[in-house]
Amino acid sequence: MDVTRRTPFLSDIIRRLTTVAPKHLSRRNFLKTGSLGTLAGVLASGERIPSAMASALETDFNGNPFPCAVIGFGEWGREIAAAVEDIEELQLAAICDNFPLMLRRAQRAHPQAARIADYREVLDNPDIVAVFVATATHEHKDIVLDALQAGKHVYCEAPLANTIEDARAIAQAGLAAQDQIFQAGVLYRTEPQYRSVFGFVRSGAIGRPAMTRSQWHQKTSWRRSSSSGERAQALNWRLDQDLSLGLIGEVGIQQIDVSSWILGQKPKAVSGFGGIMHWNDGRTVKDTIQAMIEYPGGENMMYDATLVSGFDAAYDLLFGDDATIILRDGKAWMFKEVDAPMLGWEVYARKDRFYKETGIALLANATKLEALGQDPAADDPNAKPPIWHALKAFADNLIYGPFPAVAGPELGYESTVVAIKANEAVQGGKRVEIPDDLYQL
Amino acid sequence: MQPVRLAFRAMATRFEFVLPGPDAPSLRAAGEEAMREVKRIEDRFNFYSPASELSRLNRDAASAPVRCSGMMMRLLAACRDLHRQTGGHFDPTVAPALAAWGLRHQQDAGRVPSPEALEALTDRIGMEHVDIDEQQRSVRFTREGIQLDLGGVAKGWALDEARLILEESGIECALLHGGTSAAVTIGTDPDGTPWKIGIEDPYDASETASWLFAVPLESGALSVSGVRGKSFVDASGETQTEYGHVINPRTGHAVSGPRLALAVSDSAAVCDAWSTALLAAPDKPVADGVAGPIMGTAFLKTDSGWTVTAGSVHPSWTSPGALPSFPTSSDD
Repeated sequence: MDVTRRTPFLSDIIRRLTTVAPKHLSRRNFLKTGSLGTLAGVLASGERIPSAMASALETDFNGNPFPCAVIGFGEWGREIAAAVEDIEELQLAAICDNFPLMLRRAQRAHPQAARIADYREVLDNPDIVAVFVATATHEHKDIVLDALQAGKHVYCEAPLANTIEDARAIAQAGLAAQDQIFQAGVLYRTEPQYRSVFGFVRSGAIGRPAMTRSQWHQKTSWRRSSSSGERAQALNWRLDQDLSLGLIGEVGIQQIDVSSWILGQKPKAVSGFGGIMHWNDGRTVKDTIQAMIEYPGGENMMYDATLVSGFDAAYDLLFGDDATIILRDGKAWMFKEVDAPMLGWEVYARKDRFYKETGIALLANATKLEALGQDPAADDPNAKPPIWHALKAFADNLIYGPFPAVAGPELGYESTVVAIKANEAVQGGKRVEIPDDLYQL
Repeated sequence: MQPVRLAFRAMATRFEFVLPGPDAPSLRAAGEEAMREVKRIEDRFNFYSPASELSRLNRDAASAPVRCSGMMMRLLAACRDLHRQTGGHFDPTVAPALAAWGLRHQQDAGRVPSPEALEALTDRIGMEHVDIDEQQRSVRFTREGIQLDLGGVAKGWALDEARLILEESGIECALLHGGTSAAVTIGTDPDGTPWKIGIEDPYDASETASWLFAVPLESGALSVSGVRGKSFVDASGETQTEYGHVINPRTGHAVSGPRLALAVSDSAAVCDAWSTALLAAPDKPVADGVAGPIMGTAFLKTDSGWTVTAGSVHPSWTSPGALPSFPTSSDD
């Protein structure tokens, strides 16, 4: 491998990995954290590796799950609640929503959880140790600040807020709460397949990255309904450009973060376009958008999202001069250039045909799984959605931490800055620069 | 004004929601939300996906209690009640028998198992071997080899949940069906008369085939089970026998013959279970008031046409042609 050619790219990543602001840690936490630099990665890298591997480490977890609450029981709140219910170390103690209908749904889906209309009542409950904030983006700030003030550990959905000021206030509060966990809902940093590909790219397997491309296509109105007109208006904040960050900010934030993470850079500008191509129902947010995200290293990311066509769904592509990787549906494949150097292992790897191309399947933890007697190529019986892995990382931090979250306040803030600026570009049909100092907290 | 129509694939079949009304954007939004709920239910109860909650239960519950979601606990508790109410003729543990009969997968050709294989199955079927601990929110199989397959009730369950979401959104008029074998309605059709659900004769493939009868359904649910469809013909004996994908849990035998069963009630899940049970035990009468009013009717096609083997034909069921001489129930 041509090491010198890769050096600038690798050094960027290493610098980024080592410049995460450390949390203040008590002596107890320091002692625990001594073994956690690697544990954080191991735990977040996927539960196909038996959890018993982690059980020998020092922990305060004595078998009693941590009582938690989900605040906001809309579509995403329901996904979070289902994931919490599926994590052994967490107990879904309460679901909070100020809409009685949502609480009725909570009763059906999670009859064991208390149903609470006012989030302050959740925060006043000393038994609840952590809250998952899944309300409308513009409602995050007050809830997160109050929750941190009340001493709760906080998981806040991304984007953190719909304004830079609110996002900064949230992130600063997260940083200031030194003995509390603050994790932003930047999902793929804890997803095993993405983590595996991240390491793979870092090893130089695709050569010099040239560009990235992602898409998110779904045929859906993105509208919510209610029997009450006033409530319907509140539920449809996503369609209101004054409250919503649009498709690129509310959905694309996750895929843009993947690109930034793997390239090891922060975007410096975004050019955006879009229109209302189908859902002309009074909304002010565009239903079809395209954007080009520029990085300082010269690589660009092409992104498009639409609510008009479901064709080809969602995926992420990472193009390098030796190979291209596609990530979709929790799986990944690599397509090598003819002149790319042999990596050695690929002759033994599973290969799948894609029209005229042959993709080499990239499997997270393949070597370890083989050592455990499992077939890495078989469908993973323990496969979980990205939100599960994000919440499991949060739960592991509750048990063994606090240590700096993989998606902590800084990352949550940075990704929100990009989301806000990208939405500004799309709504205005223009190029918007993101000065480096805007990323500073 | 054209109603909003949403169609999507889930649970290996086609679901369709018909939502009449003036506010198309809101109707569509409500329909999409209901559709997502159906897909969530599919993900959770998918027997074939190794990562589903049901598969995890099937893998681990014979070794130790498995913690389950609230939704899984609710559905399994309902299955336990329906198993009891149907005298054991609805049983979600028949998966090993379906496999033995070669009816597990759509592409399977079907086969008649040996008497020894059937005998061996009896130890591996029985809802009584599923220990549901509502306090601990866990499930345990008290015997090795038990496998839960919720296919006999999940479609109806999903339709019931979808209906709830639509009603909560203020929808007062809707028709929902899953694979045309289970349907629920909200209110009446836009004309103000009950929705009419046509029951077709699965053995009449002629171009002039018409409904066997139409069932009026105002804010109700209906399910039909039949032998024809996912079935195979065994020609090894003196006569040809068609076996369908419904198993009699008591015997492990696949149901055979030109049969049809229909259940009508408030809940599509209840109807799903009862129509399955009636096909498995076609002479079993349905007890009214067991879990809300249920009307169940089992039919057998003979040389002289369709006859009723259990239950009755309600006078409100209409037919485009002359109805066969079905016994009819009192008009209540």
